[in-house]
Amino acid sequence: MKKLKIRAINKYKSYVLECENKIYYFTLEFYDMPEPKIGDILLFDEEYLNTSSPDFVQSLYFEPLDEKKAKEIRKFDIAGLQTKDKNYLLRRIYG
Amino acid sequence: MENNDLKYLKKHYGEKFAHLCRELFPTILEQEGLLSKIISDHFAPTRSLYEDILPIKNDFVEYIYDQAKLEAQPVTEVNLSPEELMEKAGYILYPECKTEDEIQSFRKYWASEEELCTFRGGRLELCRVWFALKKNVDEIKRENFTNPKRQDEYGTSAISIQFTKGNTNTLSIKNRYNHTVYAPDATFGNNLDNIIPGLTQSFVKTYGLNLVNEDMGGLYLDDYAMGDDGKFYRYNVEIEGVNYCENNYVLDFGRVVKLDNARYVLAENYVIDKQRKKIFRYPNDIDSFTKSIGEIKDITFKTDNEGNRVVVCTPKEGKVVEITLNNKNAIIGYKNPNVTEIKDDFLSDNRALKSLSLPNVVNIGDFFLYSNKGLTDLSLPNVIKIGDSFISSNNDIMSLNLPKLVSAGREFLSHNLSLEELNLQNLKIAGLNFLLCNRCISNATLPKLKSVGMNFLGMNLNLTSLSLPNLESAGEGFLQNNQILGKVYLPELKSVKACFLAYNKSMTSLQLPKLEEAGDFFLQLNSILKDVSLPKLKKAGDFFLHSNQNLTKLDLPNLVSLGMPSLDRSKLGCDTIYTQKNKQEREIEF
Repeated sequence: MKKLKIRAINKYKSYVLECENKIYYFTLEFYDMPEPKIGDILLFDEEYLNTSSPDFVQSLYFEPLDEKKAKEIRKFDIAGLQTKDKNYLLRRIYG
Repeated sequence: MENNDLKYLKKHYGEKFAHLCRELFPTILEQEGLLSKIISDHFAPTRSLYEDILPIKNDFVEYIYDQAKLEAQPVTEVNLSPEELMEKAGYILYPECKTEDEIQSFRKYWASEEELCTFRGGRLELCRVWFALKKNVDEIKRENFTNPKRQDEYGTSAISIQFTKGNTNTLSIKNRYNHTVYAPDATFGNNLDNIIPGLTQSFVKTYGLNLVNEDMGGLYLDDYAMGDDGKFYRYNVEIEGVNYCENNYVLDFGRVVKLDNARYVLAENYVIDKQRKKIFRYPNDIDSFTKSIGEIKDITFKTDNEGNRVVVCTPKEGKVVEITLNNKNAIIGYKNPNVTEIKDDFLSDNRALKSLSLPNVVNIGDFFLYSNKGLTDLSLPNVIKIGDSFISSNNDIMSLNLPKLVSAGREFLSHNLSLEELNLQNLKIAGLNFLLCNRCISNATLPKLKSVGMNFLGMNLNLTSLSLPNLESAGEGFLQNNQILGKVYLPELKSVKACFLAYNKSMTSLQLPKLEEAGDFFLQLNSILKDVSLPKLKKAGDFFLHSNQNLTKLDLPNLVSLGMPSLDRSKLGCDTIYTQKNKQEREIEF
């Protein structure tokens, strides 16, 4: 899992993320949960950052995941969000 | 005669870089104009390129040769529309969806447990959306595909082509299987030309898209960012997604902005407008730094003894203000004799400032020089009040002159590692995490200190004695990691929170004549403490004097309330515990 700090968000939900002194740009959507803020930390599989992969995607979508259901889904699809007030376990969704 | 390509490279990227290219790319140089085109198409001019690519020379060589191959491919002009090309590929490309209803009309082509999250609504806020269906989509049934593969006939029979909105657009092609297959949002490798050659160019031309792959093309260069023109730009500083680059370039979320060299000077994220005599934070903001300068009558430039550029601002009122810039246009010095009050976030992103002169400032807000790593000494002779997070990222300040400081907010110099002597003659209030990380202060003079927050000098390891004659209240964790403090003088201390002087291994006796209230873990694990006098203590929290093995005298004549567990007599060495107001010897009820 990589930890990425949210450095900026523009009006089209384009996020600037910082991880280990590198900057990444993703469009992110979060369903059924509050929008993250600048300074929050995202955690997800490091393969998402592999920009040279033919399967690389710049738009990622997430929804909250019930911890009890975590075993049912691919480890690759489990993510997290750390905010000032709360930590969220997330599931990546597609489409 | 020198090759024209090399002349060009020498002029724009430096002689060393040109020599390196001669050595690395002899075959490319045989085609006149090719190498200079490749380099100028991919790298904004900078004299630093030679040094920056040396560590990754092999990757750089591979990258340039890949670009040379691409240049060699013939370019076919595409005259067909996306709809026409898709039709050739066996699809019907439907018009761009402009409403949610139009998106929902395609929902029926996805199996209910494989629906795209596009159908949850709201996608049009972020993306331009198209759907394409194979002409025989109704004949391609889900139940006939028992071993789904992303690129099989079913997976590609109904797709959604989506481009993110904004100045640059990135593509995602969604799959009819959705999450059932791996990487469904990268169908066809997110390359429209994999559906039919020319489709990418046709989409771009017809729908006015700016398709940029924000992948740095396999070349990773520290201190470089890619602009929406596909070029690497060397940046001096990056703040919240905006890169401030050499030669007056700004990459604003990737959008390349060039500031006119004749009119503007870029200093970190500040723009100096020589024509209008103004300084503002990019793109057009006023903040506490620009306000501190005031209204400017004139801006001139000079060079200091070290060759640094100095921006000399003559204000309409007051004395000259000077801003010193290094060769990367970072602000390394600031002299302002006029300002008396500084609001929040003053140069809060600046790291490089190493010289600061604000002789008349009295009040400072929050996050003052929050990110700074350059200062090693600090003198603010008239400051009285300082807000939260004051220079709190700096490790190296060794000398501090704040003779009039009365109040310091939270996180005051909280990451300082270098200060050895602390002398704040007028300080009365210190907020949470005051000099938290400093381990080496061995001498602290704080004669007027009345109140300290949590973790006061919390990591200090060097103080052997401490006199705080006016301290009345201490927050949680007061000097809790210091094990060598042998003497403390706290005659006015009335209340302390949890973990007061916990873990101390050097104090043998402690008198707190006015202490009335003590939080949890008070003096816990004080291994050689023998004699404790707390004549006014009324209330103590949990784990009071926990694991104090050597107490022989404990004076608590006014104690009426004690937390859990209560004093464990088997862990105390003392025989005598004074507990009642009338000072009669009496055992505490345990």
